[in-house]
Amino acid sequence: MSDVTKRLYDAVLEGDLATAQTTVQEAIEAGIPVDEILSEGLVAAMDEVGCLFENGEYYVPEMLISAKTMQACLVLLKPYLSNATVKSPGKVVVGTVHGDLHDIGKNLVCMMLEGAGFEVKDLGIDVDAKKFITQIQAEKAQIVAFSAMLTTTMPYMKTIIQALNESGLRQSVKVMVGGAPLTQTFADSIGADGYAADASQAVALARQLVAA
Amino acid sequence: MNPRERALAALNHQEPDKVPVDLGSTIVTTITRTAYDNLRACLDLPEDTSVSISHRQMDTVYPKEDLLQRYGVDFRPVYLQGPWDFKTQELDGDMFIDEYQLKWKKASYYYDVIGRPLDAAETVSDVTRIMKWPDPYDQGRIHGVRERALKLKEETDYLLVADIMCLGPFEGACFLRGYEKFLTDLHWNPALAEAILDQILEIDIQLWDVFLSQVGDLVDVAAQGDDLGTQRSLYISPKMMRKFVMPRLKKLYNFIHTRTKAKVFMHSCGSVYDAIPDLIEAGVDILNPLQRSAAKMDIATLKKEFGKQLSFWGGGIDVQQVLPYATLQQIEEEVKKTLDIMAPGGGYVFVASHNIQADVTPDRIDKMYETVLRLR
Repeated sequence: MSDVTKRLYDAVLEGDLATAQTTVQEAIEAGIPVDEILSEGLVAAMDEVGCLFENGEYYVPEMLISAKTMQACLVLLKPYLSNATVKSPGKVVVGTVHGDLHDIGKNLVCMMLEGAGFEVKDLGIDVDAKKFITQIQAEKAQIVAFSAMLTTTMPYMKTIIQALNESGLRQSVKVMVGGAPLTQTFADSIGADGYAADASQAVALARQLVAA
Repeated sequence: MNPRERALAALNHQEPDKVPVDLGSTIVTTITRTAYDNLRACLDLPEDTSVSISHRQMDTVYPKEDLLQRYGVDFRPVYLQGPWDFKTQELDGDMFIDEYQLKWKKASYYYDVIGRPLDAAETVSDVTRIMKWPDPYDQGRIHGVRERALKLKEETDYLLVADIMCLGPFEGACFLRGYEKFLTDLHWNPALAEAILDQILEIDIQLWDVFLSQVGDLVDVAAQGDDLGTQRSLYISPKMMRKFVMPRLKKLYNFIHTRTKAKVFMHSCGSVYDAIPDLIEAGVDILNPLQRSAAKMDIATLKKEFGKQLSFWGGGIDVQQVLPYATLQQIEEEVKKTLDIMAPGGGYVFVASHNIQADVTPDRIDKMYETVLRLR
């Protein structure tokens, strides 16, 4: 890792927005390949953020400032991305299911997936089966991720999976689920491909699902 | 022992004749309207046509006396009324704006926040400039409150609980500013974060001043909430909790303690194990709800480690993973297990680990209460 990407990595890890932004500029001007800035500076740092969160060293605020720093850096990198040979690991359509307006966990999942290089289409809250299906088709997504915060709204996930089956889309898209009241057992019972307990595990799961 | 003696013994860490039982004495230890209506029908109780909604957003009720007596509930709530000078703004599409200027929208059974008055705040002065705060001293709030509490005190032998009526500083700040923004502010704009926390705290203290001026001599429990936990941990690190949240909770609970002999009941969902020593230090006497399905919230551990300093109110059965799905036999076993762990030495009030939700069938609710009444 070059000195400049190491400094970028550190700045993202610390959620030091100003340093990260100037360091990205510096890296671009120094001619460091964009895919290297992305993978070594941003994705690697967000992987470490995920580990620190899993280990209980980072909490939601630290994850948020790192993710927001990473996002600001991505904006600066964007004009150069199209010229580079940067390959996204996959496209994920994400949403909180119909009847549920909770989005803190879902937003963290979006940020962490983005931090891992995934292309993320966030459909927001209260998303019904029809909208999920339209967007999976429009985005040609490899993964769809459902979130629910309530025991009363999580059964709707099964409705969406049934709709995916009926539309013939189920074979071409992996389904991952998460949210406070969910368990692996519930995920298995509705026929999801995976369950993640938090944003960091969601990244690991998404990587696993696109590799499968 | 009468209900008040029983409950007081338990809250003073003495073993009462029976474990006290709650349903509906606070907005976080009650039942949602759908589950309540289903339960009444199942028990052949007459339909509650003038149902008293205790919390509109959570769609919870203050259950009627007939149900409370049937389930041997040892507590009764007293609560503040709404202000006269503020009218909730009703909007199309099942939305409304409350007196904190929060915009709520209904989806399925509940309302959630979709508009936040401090969303655009940048500086400390914005906190009081861009939003109008509630007036704690609006006379409407106390209308009939003392009379109702006095009547309960004189005519019944239940223990009276001053129900939750204001935002907790941390949760309130997350609501008013938005979770993502507030949690980011803690690092990037701590002065703004502190200003929001302080403003909520000031309103809270004034509201408790108003409430306790009416019922401070009549209640034995003062209930206050502030959700500090997620499913897996505290929202923020214990270190940050000590810097931003605990000093303010301590100020609030000290104020309550100076104004009443009532014990301070603190509600926080989620995994709060790592904050418990600090909460005890801040003046919490009773912890609710013991969300057993969250990380590190095993009730036996809590009882063993903190049972001498803290009373527990809740956790009777988990409403997230157990109550909606369990068989009746599993419910009976869970209740028995809970009592075996929590009852010895007092310091325990039985109620589910949060409000009973719409997806819980009445036979399950009845089984829970029937079992606790039989075994307590």
